[in-house]
Order: sequence, then C-alpha cells, then structure tokens
Amino acid sequence: MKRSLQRRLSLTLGSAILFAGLVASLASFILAYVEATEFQDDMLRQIALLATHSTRSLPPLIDAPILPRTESVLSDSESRISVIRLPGEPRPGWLDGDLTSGFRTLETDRGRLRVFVQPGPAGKTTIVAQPTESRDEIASNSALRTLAPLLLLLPVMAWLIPHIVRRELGPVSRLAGYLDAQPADRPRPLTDEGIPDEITSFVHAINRLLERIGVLMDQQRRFISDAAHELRSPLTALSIQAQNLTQVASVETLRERITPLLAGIERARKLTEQLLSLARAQAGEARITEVDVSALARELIAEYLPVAEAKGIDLGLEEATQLKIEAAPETLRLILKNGLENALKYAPKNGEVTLRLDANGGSTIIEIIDNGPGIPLTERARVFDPFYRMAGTVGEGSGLGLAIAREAAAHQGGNLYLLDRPQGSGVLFRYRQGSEVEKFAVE
Amino acid sequence: MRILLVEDDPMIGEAVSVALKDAAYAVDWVKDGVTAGDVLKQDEHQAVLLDLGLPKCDGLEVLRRLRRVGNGIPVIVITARDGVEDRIKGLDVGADDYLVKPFDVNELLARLRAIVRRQGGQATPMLTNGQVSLDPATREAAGGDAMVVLSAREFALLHALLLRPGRIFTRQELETHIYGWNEEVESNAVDFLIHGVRKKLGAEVIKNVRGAGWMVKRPD
Repeated sequence: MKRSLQRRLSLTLGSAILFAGLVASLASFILAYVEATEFQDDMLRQIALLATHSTRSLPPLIDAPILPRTESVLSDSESRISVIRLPGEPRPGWLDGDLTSGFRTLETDRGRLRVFVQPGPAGKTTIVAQPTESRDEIASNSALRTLAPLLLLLPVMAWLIPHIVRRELGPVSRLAGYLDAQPADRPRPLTDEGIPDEITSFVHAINRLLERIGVLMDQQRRFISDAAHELRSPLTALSIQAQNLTQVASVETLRERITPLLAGIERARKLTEQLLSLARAQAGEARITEVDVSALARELIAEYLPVAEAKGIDLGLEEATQLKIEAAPETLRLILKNGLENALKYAPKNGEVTLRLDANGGSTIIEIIDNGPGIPLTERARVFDPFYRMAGTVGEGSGLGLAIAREAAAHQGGNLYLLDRPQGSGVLFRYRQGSEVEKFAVE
Repeated sequence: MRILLVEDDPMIGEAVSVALKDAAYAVDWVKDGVTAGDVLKQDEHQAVLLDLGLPKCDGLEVLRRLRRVGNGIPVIVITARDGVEDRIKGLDVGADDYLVKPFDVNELLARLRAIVRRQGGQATPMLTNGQVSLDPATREAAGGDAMVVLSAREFALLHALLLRPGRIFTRQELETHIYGWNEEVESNAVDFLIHGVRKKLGAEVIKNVRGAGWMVKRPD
C-alpha cells in the first residue's frame, strides 16, 4: 500500500502538520512562559513602588507560609507575595546584607525566592519577595492555556486531511472505475469534466491512446470480416465443383471437372498461405541478419525465369552497386517475390521486367520495373488495402499480396512505393530501406 | 428454362454454370452489374442468380433498377454477405430468395424450382395441365400410363411449355429456353426434341399449330 497516493498524501500532510504544530506549540509555550515571568516581575516592582510611597501599615494577609507570623506580610494564597519595609518591620532571616536595588533570586531554607529590593527616601527600603515555585506555576499555567487551541486543532486535522485527500483524488478513482467498466473491444473516451487540470492532460493522453486502439481494432475487425468473406469464395467454388462431380456420366467429363476442382483447392491453399504470411508480417517475428541482396536478386531471377520465358518477357538485372543490407532474409524475399509476380503478371507478352539494385545516401533501393499498363493515380493508395482488387483486373488474386508486402516492409524498417515507370507506361515497385526518408510516398 | 448468372468470380461462375447445365437449365453468365442490366433488358431469361459484390455496378443496384422498371423476373441473390441486415435489405430491394456462400448446389436448384413455380402461380411442385405432368426436381414426366425420365433438353422444352399451358411458343422462343448464348443451336433441334417427348409420352401431349408454333393444352 506504499504506492497509494491517497495514503501517502494523508501521511505526509498529516506528519507535516503535526510537526509544524508541535514546533509552533513549543515556541508559543516558551514565549508565553517568558512573558508571564516578566509580567510577574513587573508586578513585584509595582508592589514595591506602591509600598515605598505608602506610609499606612499594610493589613496582614492570610496564609503566607514563607514568612514568620510576626513579620508584616502582604500576601495572598496564590501568588504568595510578601512585602517587608525596612527599617521598622522585622528583617527576615533569609535576607542577606546586600540591599542594592533590583531583582535577585535567593536560595533560602523556605525554598527559592524571587526578591525585589526598592530603596526609598531616607534610608527606607522596601523588599518584595515571592517563591519561584508559585511564579513558575502561574507562568506555566498561562503558557499551557495558549497551547489549547493548537492541541485542539491536531485531531481535527487528523480527521480532515484524509477526507480532503480522498475527496480530491475522487475523480482519479472514478476515472479508473470508468476505464475498468469499458468494453475492451470498443472503449469510449474519458470525459475531462470535473477533472483537475493536472490530470486532464493525462486523460487526454489516455483518450488519444484509446482512439488509436479503436482505429486499430476497427482495422482488425474489417480485416477479419474481409478475410472470412474472401475465404468463402474459394470454399463456394470448391463445394460446387465437388458436387458437380456427382453428376458426371463419363470418365472424360469427370477428368474435365477435376481440373477446376484442383484449381479451386490451389486457390484456397494460396489464400490461406497469404493470410498466414500477413499474420507473420504483422507479428514481425523474423530474425534480422545481413542479406546479400545481389545474390538474392540472382536467385529470384533464376526462380522466375521460366514464368517470364513462358510469356516471352525479358527478365533482367541492373546492378548499380553490390548491395548488402540488414534485413530478415525471408521477409525481403517475400516482398521482392510479390513485386516480381505482379510485374510478370501485368507486363505484356514479350514485355520487359527489370530488377534494379541501387544505393543512395545511406539507403538501399531495390526496384522492380515493368512495362505493363501501370496503376492509375486514383488506385495507387488503395492497392495496398487488404483484399482490394483493381477494377477490371482479371484472375484470381486474393488482393492480399501488396498488403502483405507493405506490412513486411514496415516491420523491417523499410518502405514500399508504387511509382510510374520513368519512361512510358508501367509500374516502378520500389523497396527502400535506410536512413533517408522518401518524400514522394504515394503521389 | 434459361437462367442469367451474374457472378464476378470466374471459378464460382464456371462451377455454377456447370451445375445448372447438369440440371437442364440454359445458362448465360455475365461478370459485372452493367452487363447484367443490359442483358436483362432483352427479357430472354426466366430467372436470375445475382451475386452482390460485383464490379462496376453493385448487385443490389442492378436489382433496384430492375424492379424500378417493373421487371418481375425471379431473382435469387447469392452473396457472401450474411448479416441479417444484408439479407433483409436484399429481400426488401426485391430479391425473391437469398443464398449465402458457400451454399449447396441442391439447395440452389430447389430454391430455383420453387421461385419459378411460384412465378407461374403454382404452389405444388408438380407442373401439370391435366394431360401431362412434370416433376422439376426429378425430371420425371407422366402422361397417360407412361412414366418416364426426360433428357435435360427434353425436360427444358416441356417445362417451358407447361409453365404457360395454352400459350403458343415459336421455335425461336423455345430455343431461347433451351440454349445459352454460347451453345450452338442445330437447325432442327426443336423438332428433334419434340419428337423425343412425343415418343415417350404420346403424340397428343404437344400440339403443333400450323405456322404458329407449339403448345400444351390448357387444363380443363
């Protein structure tokens, strides 16, 4: 519970107030005590003055135990002040010979006395005495009384502080409760109404995070629904193709109908594979090592040469520089295969597809250029969307290839661009990895 | 019976065409909504299988336009959109039935028979004019004492006639019921099929009206 802000605030505030209260009490006690002592000294001096200038004999006061009965005593039961006028009145035994004017404190057989000597006219001297015990008692009593308000304050504060802290932190725990009650799949933003300024920025940050999560969740939901939709098509084809087999009367028809069934199975297999690749690309599991791009390019060209030759396409390599980059070999291969497959698909018969390697200011550029019809500007951003197929495209592509390639590129810090071929129609598929930021992403 | 199949997926389109031809339907297959709309203006088909996710013009839009001009041709929507709302929308726009991919071919054929039957105002699955009866599910025909299974084309011919007993069909009309666009029609194919049906069920089953065409008689 050391991390409870409420508890920590209550404890630190409480301790601070207790400490300050104690210091204040001590100071107030000492000041009041000194004040009371000085006040009593003043009183002794005034009594002495009064007695000196009065010629009347003072009435004997009751119960003044510090002096013998015979002594002329001016005293009361609490302050126990004695007044002795010399000469005339009997000189008390504790009084020594020194009768200089002023205050002194004397140790006597009747305890400590505070004594004031007031020389008067014609050799008369007035002595006023008071036991320090009584003085101290009076002083401490009056000092103690000044402590009362402070001491009363402490329990009140002890009760108030946790309450105030709890009340002020209430919005925080309400926010937490609100967040807890949110459905995980569709969190609603927090309100900043009635929230202290210090926490508002925090609330806004959480809301921005929730918004990003919401967008991501929506994308995922759309993707899953699209994926399910896409899986239905090959499944539908498969189920009808299989049922068509039950209607055949001859072996020839059977053979005829098995071909599309096998194609349907191949299509379903490919789609499943692509969905898996996309999931892997998104998870970014691949291990990064140094890849010899020049070697990889030759490998890929060798792999696709039969496809190219079947269409009469001139597939070649343009190597401006030997390239080695830090990448996940399988991921890079996946990206480039996607580019090559698209290029070979869209390049016309007897067309040309070129794999080009280049380096530019710390970044690596791998391009695949075809001389096909190209991609209209309006479609260029959308072709990266999962399951998007350009209007008018024939064939049975899933529309996942570019989405997978872009995801894969992003996960190893690269970027994928589809640009116009510099001369004539066609697509320039560019993979770029490195320090420089490309400014003309999708123009 | 001639069906228009509107489906952009080449594999599904091919497979459904084969299945429909197996079930003795003439099938024409188009791959986008605009072409479908144009073809339907020709009024050559008796039913439409319509996929919703089409290029150029969405299937629902095709259906909406079709109904707006008062074309009541039976339409079965075939789609991968299976949300209840999608289905409700499809039916509200004017679909007669709704099939969600992936579907069973036999179910598709049964639903097709059902909507065509309802279109002809019949509730029972058997087509009959009192003289001859035809079971579209099994292609079995009964006339007099004979009970035979017809070939696909024979069935298509008799089916067309029995849907509108008493109406005279021209040779060309009968041909459009039996053959799709890409199928070669032999010059005497209709005569040949009528001959086959008469041979199986009796000559009086299909009546020839000289110079006009053929018909089955109206129920008594």
